[in-house]
Amino acid sequence: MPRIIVRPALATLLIHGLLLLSLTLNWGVQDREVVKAKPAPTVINARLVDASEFKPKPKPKPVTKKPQPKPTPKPVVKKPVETTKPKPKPAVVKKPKVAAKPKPVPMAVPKPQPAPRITREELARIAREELAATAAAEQASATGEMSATFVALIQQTVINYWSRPPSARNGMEAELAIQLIPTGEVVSVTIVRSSGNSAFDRSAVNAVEKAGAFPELQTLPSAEFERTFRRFRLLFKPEDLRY
Amino acid sequence: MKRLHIFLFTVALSLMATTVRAELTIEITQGSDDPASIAVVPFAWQGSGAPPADVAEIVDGDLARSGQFAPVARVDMLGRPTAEADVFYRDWRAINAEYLLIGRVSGVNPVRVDYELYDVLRQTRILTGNQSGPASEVRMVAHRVADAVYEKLTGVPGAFATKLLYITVDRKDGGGLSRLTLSDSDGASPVVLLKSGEPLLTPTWSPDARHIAYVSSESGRPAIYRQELATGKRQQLTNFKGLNSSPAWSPDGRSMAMVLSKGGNPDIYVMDLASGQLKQLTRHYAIDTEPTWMPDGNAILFTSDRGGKPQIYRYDLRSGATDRVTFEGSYNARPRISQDGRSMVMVHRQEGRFHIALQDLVTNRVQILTQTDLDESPSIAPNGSMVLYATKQAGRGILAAVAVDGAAKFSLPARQGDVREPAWSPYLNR
Repeated sequence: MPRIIVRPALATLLIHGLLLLSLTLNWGVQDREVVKAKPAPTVINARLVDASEFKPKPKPKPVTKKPQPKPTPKPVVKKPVETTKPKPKPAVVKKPKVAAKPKPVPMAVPKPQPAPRITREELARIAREELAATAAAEQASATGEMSATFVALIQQTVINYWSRPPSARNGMEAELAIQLIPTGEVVSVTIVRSSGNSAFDRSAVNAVEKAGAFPELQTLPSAEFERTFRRFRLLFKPEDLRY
Repeated sequence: MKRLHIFLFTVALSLMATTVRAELTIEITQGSDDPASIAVVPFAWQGSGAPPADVAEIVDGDLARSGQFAPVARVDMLGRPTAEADVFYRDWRAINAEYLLIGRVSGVNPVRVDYELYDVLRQTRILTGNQSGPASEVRMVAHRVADAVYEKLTGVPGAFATKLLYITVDRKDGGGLSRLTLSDSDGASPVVLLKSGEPLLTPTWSPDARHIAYVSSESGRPAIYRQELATGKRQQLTNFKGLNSSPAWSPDGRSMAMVLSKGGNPDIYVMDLASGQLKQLTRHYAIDTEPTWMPDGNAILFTSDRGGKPQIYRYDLRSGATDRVTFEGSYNARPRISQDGRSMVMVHRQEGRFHIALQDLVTNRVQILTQTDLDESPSIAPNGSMVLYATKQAGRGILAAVAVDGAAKFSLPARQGDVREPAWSPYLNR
């Protein structure tokens, strides 16, 4: 009995050790690793949730680049075919560069690392998983990148309409729940977390009301619209005021 | 056991909550801060004869001067409601008005103004109120309406229903007649409080806005006088040899800082107003002048050239220590502090030109607010939103104001002669 436990335990210890080693040793090469390992899904997820990561200006650039590699929003059928050659994927290579700041690296590095020590069956399994992941990444990144673009668009629009009252201070926070319909029209704005300053709260609500609609969202696949933009939150949190 | 259940239940709930809340959150950390569009519809006049004043126009002007609002021109209004039943939000949304103010004026003496403020985008009434006062003060009544609207929409009390003091000097015949004048915050309704053939200088307000003080040389040499606004009763506070200047009331109203040179060269003193006793604060062979109090009453800022060039220093009344406050540039003088103690305005020289600048007393960042030359005597509004100062226009002294964020500027209507040394009053009736 104990032996049965010991072996897997040792194996996991070893693997974890390797992971740690790889993390520390490969630190310098990371960037290249990321590019090869195409951890697109994690990058995309990180971006979507943490919208503050990207600034309104740099975002528009990806817009022009992305459409080239994958013009179609639902390449689900084609992708598995392409996945036989996962490495040369051009879009994936570019993406990590754009999102160099988020650090999904710890997750990316582990996979290639244990490779030399594992059996053929395991290798096959990993390959299969990678293929699947790549396919998913393709898909997720396509819509993900689109979403990111629209997030930036919403952000910039609201910024343009947001007129802060003189009582606004850096560090105040008001969170609004926004509901859209597929035309991009704002149908509901509610304060879910007040800043405690009613003039500040009003300025935030009015920024969204003045924007009124984000008609560009109509071009988004409906599944993506439902998933991300049907309901979302806006966190008003000034950082550029005098104080 | 029950507790454990409750605990597990809350844990489960919060876990659910976190999964459900996996909603996209977009952070907005910047704004464009364009002025908010507000439509101030002409108020209905419900009396006989001519209305006492165009109250809406006064309110409109106040809001526009603040720089926080962009009033809608009357010609662009698609309707002129004066009661809630006549308000059609789409008319206002169509011309991109964010807010709508309507009202009614009734009564002759006293005059009464009823008003309602609407949020056009959310289609709700957000403020209802009324103000009244004697017919002679109808403009002040209108300013109080503007104050209420401003406070509701900005979160900062309005400072329209306040007064200005300033000195005008006629340039005729070289000699020149000095006048100490009191006006509304928009420069309207000027009243001359004192005329003198000798110079009048540095008018200032008591914290309750009931008294003023100034320097007059009517007795042959400069002396500090205190005057009660309501009665015009005057009292000479100092008559020392040499300089008697720059009176500044303490925030509690009990003492007054001033500059006296009876000790040989100008130093800062504080007088206890009840007893008349003097205490000398600074003893330096350099010139110490232009004292002003920190709002907490614990320190006095003043200008001194003890470092070779005029700079602003802080005298701590508790410890007696003096620290230098300004370091940017070779000339910083005439400090005034906002009521929150955070912002200091001053005269700052840059490339040989004198501008009004604002220094953040926490970060010590200096921001130049004015582009004109020869700007002097900054005075800050009681709500900290605007700085009034004296400047030159076509060689003549005029008064101008600038928002503390530098965004809005305006000049006060020109008066005869040169206008100098404005002093913005504290809030009235508080």
